[in-house]
Amino acid sequence: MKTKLIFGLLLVLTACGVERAPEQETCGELPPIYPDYAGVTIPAEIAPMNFNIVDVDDYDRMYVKVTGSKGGNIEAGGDWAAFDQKQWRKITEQNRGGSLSFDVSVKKKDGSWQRYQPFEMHVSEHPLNDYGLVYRKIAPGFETFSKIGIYQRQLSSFDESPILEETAVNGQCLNCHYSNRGNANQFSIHIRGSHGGTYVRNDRGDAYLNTKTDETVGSCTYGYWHPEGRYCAYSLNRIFQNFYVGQDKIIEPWDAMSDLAILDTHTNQLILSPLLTTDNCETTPAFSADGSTLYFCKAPKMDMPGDYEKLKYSLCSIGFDAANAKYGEKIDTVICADSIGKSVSLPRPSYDGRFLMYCLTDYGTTPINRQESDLYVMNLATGEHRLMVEINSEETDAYHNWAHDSRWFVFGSKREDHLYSLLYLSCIGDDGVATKPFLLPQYNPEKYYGESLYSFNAPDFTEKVSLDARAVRDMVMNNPTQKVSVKR
Amino acid sequence: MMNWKKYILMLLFGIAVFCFWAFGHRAVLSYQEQMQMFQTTSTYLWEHLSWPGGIATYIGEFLTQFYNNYWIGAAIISILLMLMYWATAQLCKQIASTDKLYPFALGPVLIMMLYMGDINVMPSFIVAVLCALLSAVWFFCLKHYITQGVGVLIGLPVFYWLFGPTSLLLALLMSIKIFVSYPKHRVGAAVISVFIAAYAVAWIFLDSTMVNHPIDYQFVGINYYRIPTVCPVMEFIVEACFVAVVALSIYIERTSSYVSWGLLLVWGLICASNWSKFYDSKTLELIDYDYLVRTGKWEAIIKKAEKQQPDLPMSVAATNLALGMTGQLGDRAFQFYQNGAEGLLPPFQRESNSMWVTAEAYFQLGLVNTAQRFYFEGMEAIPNYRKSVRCIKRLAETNMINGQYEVAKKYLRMLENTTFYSKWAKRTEKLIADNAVDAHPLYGRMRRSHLQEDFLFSETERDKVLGQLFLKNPQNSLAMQYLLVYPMLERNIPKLMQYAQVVQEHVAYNPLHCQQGIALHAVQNQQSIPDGLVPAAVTDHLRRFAKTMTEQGKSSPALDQFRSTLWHYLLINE
Repeated sequence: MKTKLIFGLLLVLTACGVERAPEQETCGELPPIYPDYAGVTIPAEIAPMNFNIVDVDDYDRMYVKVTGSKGGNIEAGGDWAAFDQKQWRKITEQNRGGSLSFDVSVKKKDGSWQRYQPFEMHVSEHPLNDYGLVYRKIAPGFETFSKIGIYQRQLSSFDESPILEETAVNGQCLNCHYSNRGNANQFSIHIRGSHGGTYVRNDRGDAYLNTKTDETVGSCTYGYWHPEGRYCAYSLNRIFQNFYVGQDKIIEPWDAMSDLAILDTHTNQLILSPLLTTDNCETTPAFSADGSTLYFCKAPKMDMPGDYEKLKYSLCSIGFDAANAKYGEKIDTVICADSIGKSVSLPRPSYDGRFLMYCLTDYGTTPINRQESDLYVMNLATGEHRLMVEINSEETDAYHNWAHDSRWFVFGSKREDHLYSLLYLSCIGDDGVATKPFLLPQYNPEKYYGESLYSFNAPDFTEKVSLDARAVRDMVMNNPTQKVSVKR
Repeated sequence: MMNWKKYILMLLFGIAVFCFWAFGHRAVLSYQEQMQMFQTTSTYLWEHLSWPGGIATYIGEFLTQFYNNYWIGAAIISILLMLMYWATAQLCKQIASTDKLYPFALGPVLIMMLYMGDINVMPSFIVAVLCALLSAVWFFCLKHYITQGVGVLIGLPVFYWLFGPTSLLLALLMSIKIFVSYPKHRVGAAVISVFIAAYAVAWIFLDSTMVNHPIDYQFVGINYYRIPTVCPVMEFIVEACFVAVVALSIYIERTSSYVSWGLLLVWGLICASNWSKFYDSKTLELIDYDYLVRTGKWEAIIKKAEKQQPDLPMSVAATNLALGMTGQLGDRAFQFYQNGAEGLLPPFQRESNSMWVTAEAYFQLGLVNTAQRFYFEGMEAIPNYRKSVRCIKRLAETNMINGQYEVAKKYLRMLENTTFYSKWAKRTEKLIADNAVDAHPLYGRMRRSHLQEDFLFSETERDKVLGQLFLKNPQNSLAMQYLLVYPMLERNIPKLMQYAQVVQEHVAYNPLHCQQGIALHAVQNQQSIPDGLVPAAVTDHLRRFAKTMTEQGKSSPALDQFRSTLWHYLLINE
């Protein structure tokens, strides 16, 4: 019995123990880690920033000691750096506004150790209080879709859970999830397919709406909630896509027609304006922080797909009076596509009214498919705007959204491999300059991202969402029972 | 003595099953293997543990990967069915207390074999049924009511989570056992039997909230059938057959052993009369063509087409590709049934096999991006959301040819976690590391052939893309053949004249059908047939064709002798 106890204790100790590296001089190089977390700024609330050692010949194991500038230290070791969640949270809280130094050593198969130059992570003073992220996981394909799902991921841990998967509503394509500033009780999901419709949850409950009417060009597609929660602006798109023959570009989606409308979720009416239902293409609406302005992108009608390279969208705006559900009298052009020779898409005003972030591409309306897509930020007080060099990459950078406090933001980027979009977080300062973005942490990042065949797209911050998939299935399979009406 | 006969029957059955798959249906094994990508990683296992029946799927996929070698694949199926037979015979023996029912017990296994003719029946279902039968054999050995109770209360929910809703089959077999075991307490035993079945159903309902699948699909079994939206009634019939055989063995034991043999004959007749419904010849033909395309057996495709004219879009496309790959398309295309230009490059369809054959044609042509799209789409069209090892392999190649090394490496590393593609993946990844892609005989050739300038692909202007491919690399023989045959299949002779001229400016290539087209064009335009381009034999042949058609009319059987000419396709097959 005693022997068994000792053996068991030894086993536990062996399992828990970390083989420490001997004290030695650093080799002067930064450690080859994946993801590249050197110099990033993190919120104290984030899950452990685990990382792997990559591209080291005869790699056996690693050891890392983390020391906080305001005190505390933790360590990890083994195949990769996996920090204890409680210890991690403690040290990040302790070093809020300070930094963490990561002292990494690598052991090779011959038993020798190499110590690398320590790198730092800054812990932001600004908290990230949102529960997590919501995003759609989808294979970066063309026309056929397989297992699509909308998932939520807790930011302080590695927990990911499905909100709704295609398996629950077989054969229907799940479009993006749009919530009102992360509100778990105000969101919509557009569903395409034989049982297509728009699922809307608000303070009056859940509804599955048929938003296609005889007077509009398509169903509600890209949405954005009015801050007061009664209205949701949508673009009504009739989308087509073409495919490239060459070797760099892959797919070119385009709108044959697109208009804008605002859905009154209390009356299920689509409020239309003659200014927003023209022959031109209007798309991707977004309300300003106070809800008085509706931003959107607009391009003149083109002969598509022949003129696809000439299709350039301007950033425009129109007033909206929520009290009387009335649009403004005129459209203002905020950024003129002709003047910059580029196409604007996905305007996203920060919720505190300071900034507006958007994408610029050479042409077209879906930046996620354009390698040259970069993120730009406009200071709404001064009207100045600039390329966010500090966060962009050579590959696609798009699909950005703000956290509730408008300090942190998330965006999708294909910087890893040109095809699969992954999620990055960054923090923007008062001067509009963002910190070096970091890849959404995973328990074993190399394994997780290496084995994933999904793109993470349309991310947004969210509260914890609770959705009864079976109830949604019943609604979807019974087809939309409520048809929206039109109000001009 | 009886046991000896039983094992002889089992062995004969196993050999028959082995031969059936190894010699007659090896393409189906390849089809099953390419519709999944079994990974030897812990993540893959954990993922499968997250839904009811995941382990049955895991074991099924583990076994299916060996179908890569059809000898092993046939042996696996044979062993699974022999085990299934053994388990059924054991259950009958324990219920009836006699071994003479062994011929009768083969019946449900024959029905299972019949059901396996449906290519969408997943190996996980076979594994799950087998595990239910083996678990029942174990349960039947329990003698004490407490161990039986524990077996039911704990065994059923655990079984359901591991192997899926064949737990209902297990529950019904348990019920039979309980009912038979307590003859003095028939009413109580009947109540317990009903409770066991209800208990199994309740667990399915209970667990259904934990996964994002509809409840009806959970009763069918996640991954028991490839298409989640279809309710395969036959699956329940198969399970019912096993239950029926075990239940009826109580009554049949009293009869002569000849009755058992007679009933086996009845099972056999049922299977024979329904065989063609499940082993559909058209489906199997397409799978055969796909298999031959996948393995690059071009001569075998042509031989197959010579035996029986291909008449489905996919088989026509496969035959044309095989002719092109062997340099015979321009000379022999019209020896086979043609369905227009779509027979060269079929349009997009949401069906994996069709897309993969089209993808292979694009790949061999050098249209790497389009091949990549069709392969990717074909993989995404797999109804049960699996990834395809065949596609991932090709996607690694297309990305490598396109210079997208990071994506290629991602796919190659996934293949390194497979049993049969690991070595290939490591070798190929080394090509990237050594910067040796250009020097590779296939990838280097593709790089030189494929179009690098980005422009939008048009389904209606594929001949122009073929023209660009040929002009980019006049040594691209397949593009050259497709370019010339395309206008013939479109019945557009003026366009053929243009394309033939372009080709002949670069390459001395003037195949038989081209000569036929030139001769016809000259005759139709009242010009003399150019001697240098059209041999006298072709000219004479055309004269005879024209004479026969003029004198005897288009419907004359005498025109059948010209069936393999371009003229017949253009003027008779209108």
